[in-house]
Amino acid sequence: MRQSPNDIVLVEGNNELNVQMVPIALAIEVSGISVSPTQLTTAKHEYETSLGLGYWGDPFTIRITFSNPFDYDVWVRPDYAFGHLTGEPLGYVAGTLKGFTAEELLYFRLLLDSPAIQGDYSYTVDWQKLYNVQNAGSNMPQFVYDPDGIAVLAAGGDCWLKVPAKGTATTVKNGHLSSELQVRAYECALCGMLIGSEGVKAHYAAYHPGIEIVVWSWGGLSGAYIKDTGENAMNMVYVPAEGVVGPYDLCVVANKAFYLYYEPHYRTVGGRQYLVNWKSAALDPVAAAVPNQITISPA
Amino acid sequence: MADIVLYEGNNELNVGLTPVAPAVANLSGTVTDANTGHAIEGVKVTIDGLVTYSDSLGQYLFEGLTPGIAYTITFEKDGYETVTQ
Repeated sequence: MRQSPNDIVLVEGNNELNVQMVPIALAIEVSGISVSPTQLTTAKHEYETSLGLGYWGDPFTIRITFSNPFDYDVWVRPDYAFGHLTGEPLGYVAGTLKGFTAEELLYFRLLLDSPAIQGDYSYTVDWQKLYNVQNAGSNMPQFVYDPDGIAVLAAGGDCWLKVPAKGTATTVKNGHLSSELQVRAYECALCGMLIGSEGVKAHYAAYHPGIEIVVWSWGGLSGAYIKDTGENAMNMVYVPAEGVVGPYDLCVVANKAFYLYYEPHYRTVGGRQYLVNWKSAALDPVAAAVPNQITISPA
Repeated sequence: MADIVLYEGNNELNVGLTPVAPAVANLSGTVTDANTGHAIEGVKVTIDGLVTYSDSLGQYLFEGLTPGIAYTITFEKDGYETVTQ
């Protein structure tokens, strides 16, 4: 028998070999993540939240599937971003995942913590509200905001994705590219060249000598016209922000994965004492990144 | 003195041999969780083609092995990293 350095040689009689086995860490995993469409443009978009009016940029949907190896339900609330893989291992995830820099290029219909997001999430049954003790939801045990900070279980409002024990949960989230993609610029009405807001006069002097323009500003608006004819001298346009165009990796992070376990106890919240039957326990964050999932092109 | 002296002619010496038990080695131990220290039941332990499983106390036992030769022993169970020694 060939002997390796790890082989053991027994002596006559009784031999004892005690072994410690290292458990393989279990964690919620992202078993599927994709975005559709995979081509977006920096189309002009403006949105006036106070008025509820506006024009959205290219819409997209992100589909993600979580798998849960545990014997209990786990709750996650993922955040998405387009970004770029850095090649560095993620500090909080054991395994082969690589790090990424998430860039703030997404603009979801409403902010996650906005009460109105409940309306969005209500389209999918997987997203569920976690209620407080005064307003226990049928799907949830009673609990209140966790003062230990183990897992933030806000009292009402927040929606979490329930990943059933030993099962999977797939959800789809709608989004729009954010205004970070674009910057406003001015376009010469005569030759189409893009010019800076401070350079309109200089542009006409350099490229259209003899044409005198008037730059005006009033009430937050501004513009320029050709003095002799009154015609518009420039148009306001949107151009892609520097470095925005190109391929992006699709990234997802759920930093506050948690589960609940039965343990009755008292909590004092807002001066009142409540009997709370369940406690929360934090799990390792969940993260995944898929390279080159989407390409942003000029409009 | 056990020497014998032979005489001229035919000599006869009958001998009764007492069998000696062959040398054997037994191997036993306990398998525990490295994190909790708790015994692990149902660990598949393999040595030289022989297989046994740890009991509820995490204990395993092989008997009748040959001493003095090199063995590779493997401990396997789902949810744990395999140990080979």
